[in-house]
Amino acid sequence: MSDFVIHTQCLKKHFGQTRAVDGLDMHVPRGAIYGFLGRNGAGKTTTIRLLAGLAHPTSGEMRVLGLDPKTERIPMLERTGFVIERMLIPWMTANDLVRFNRGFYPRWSDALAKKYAEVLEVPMKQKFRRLSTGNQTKLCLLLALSQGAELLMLDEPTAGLDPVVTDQLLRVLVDDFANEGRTLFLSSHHLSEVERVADWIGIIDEGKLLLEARLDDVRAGFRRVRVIGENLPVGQRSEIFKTKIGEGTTEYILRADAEDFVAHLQQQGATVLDVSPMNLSEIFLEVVGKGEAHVPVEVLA
Amino acid sequence: MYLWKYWRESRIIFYAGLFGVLVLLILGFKDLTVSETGSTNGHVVVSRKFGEMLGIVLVVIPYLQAVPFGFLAWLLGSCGVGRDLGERSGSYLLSRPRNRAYFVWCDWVVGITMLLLLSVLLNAGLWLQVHQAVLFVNAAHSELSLPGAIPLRTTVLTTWASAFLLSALIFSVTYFFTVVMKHSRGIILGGGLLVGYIVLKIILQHYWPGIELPELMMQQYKAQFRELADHLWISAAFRAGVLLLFPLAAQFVLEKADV
Repeated sequence: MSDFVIHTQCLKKHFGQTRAVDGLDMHVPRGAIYGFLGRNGAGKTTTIRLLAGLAHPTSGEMRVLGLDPKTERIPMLERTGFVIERMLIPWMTANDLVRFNRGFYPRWSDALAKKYAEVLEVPMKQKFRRLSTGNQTKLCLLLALSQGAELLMLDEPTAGLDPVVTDQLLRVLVDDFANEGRTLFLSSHHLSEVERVADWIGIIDEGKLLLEARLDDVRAGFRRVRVIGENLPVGQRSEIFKTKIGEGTTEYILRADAEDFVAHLQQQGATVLDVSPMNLSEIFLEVVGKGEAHVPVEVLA
Repeated sequence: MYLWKYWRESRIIFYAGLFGVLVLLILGFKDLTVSETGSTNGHVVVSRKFGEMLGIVLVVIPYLQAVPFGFLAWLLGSCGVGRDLGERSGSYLLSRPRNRAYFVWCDWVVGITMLLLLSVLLNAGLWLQVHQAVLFVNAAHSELSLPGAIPLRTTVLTTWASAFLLSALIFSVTYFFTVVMKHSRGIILGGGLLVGYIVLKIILQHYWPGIELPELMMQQYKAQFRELADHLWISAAFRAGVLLLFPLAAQFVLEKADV
């Protein structure tokens, strides 16, 4: 299908009338740290479940490491680490879980398991159900990291964790895993965390991918431009993501080429009040804002 | 390693069963004594008291052992993938690089092996008890039967087969329902189905005697318990085939399920 580590094409998953994933086209490049952003119920977890082969798609194509999760699940799972529900076998101790997991993976590393148990300070003799939320998450991550995966897919890995544990986990993920050229895919709605570690982002809402791009391109491209006047003759320009008409002013959210756009406005005689950059949080809110147009994915990708 | 997981989840049930079997065997060895004996036509003839006791043992034991074994089988059905799905660890388990069929058949094989071990132990113990009694009576006779009845070895074998096949059926049905329900509570539905079948059979017998559903437990004797039922081993093979349908169905359901 392509050289992307993850590639989906018109992927759909419907539960009756609910369209959890609705025509998802996603491209995750090799070696990226990909932040998969969306509100609660946007379709993030369902997408990950589809990619893990845990759920069956209604239609569409998907590839993980070039393998089809529907028909080539086992080789795909041998090379991919998934942390989805953060619930392991409750009665097993952390040591039991390490031994249990070891048998499934040909590239399992006991040395890595030992290293991460020390680095993340996981109490290995405690049963999983008795561990704190933070330690449960750390243990899930320890198991995924020790299996020698090329791709790690984590669903909301920092949800419910305190800032110290979150920092500890993100450091391990970025420094130890992603820095070795492997691909890290993490879904989240904690934008600051994603902004800190990701180099690519995908924003999903109502099962559709609204934006997929390098984070630097997004930061550099998105601008908020405020102009005096209400019915300005700007025409249909591709860089306009959204137009908000207020009392005597118009606000444009641009996805790219802000300088050209401003120059065009000024040529038309318009008075530009300000042009301001947008952070990821602002961009996210504009992209998933209700009742607004969707951004064509190919513009920034 | 996955076999170990099912064993760890269910070993308490196995140990309870093992304890029960050992208690029964110890009590049996203690109480089964022979006072008067004789021999005619190559068969050991036993005292009336011993004969009565043995008669009870041979006829009632298949039904008696089916009850505790059925209960153990019902409990064993609650372990495995269905329980994991109910405890939300199904995503973890089923994202390990194995076919879903692997998990179902590992569970099923370990569960069946436990039932097999317990039922073999109990029935081997039963046979040994009577064999000991025979040796005590007359070492020259290796084959014991009650006058006009079936050889003991065959009786014990068919008793074991009946009880084991029933418990295996109960295990397979309840295991299937835990997978369908994605929860260990599926055993309630499985148990309900089996009880419902018995009730349906009774109703049909009462109101429509012409319609006869097969017994859940293989009937090893003809009436009066003096002869083995016709085509007993075909019936056993058929029942073994039927109970295999349930793990197959569980595999099918799990492979189609969204987790």
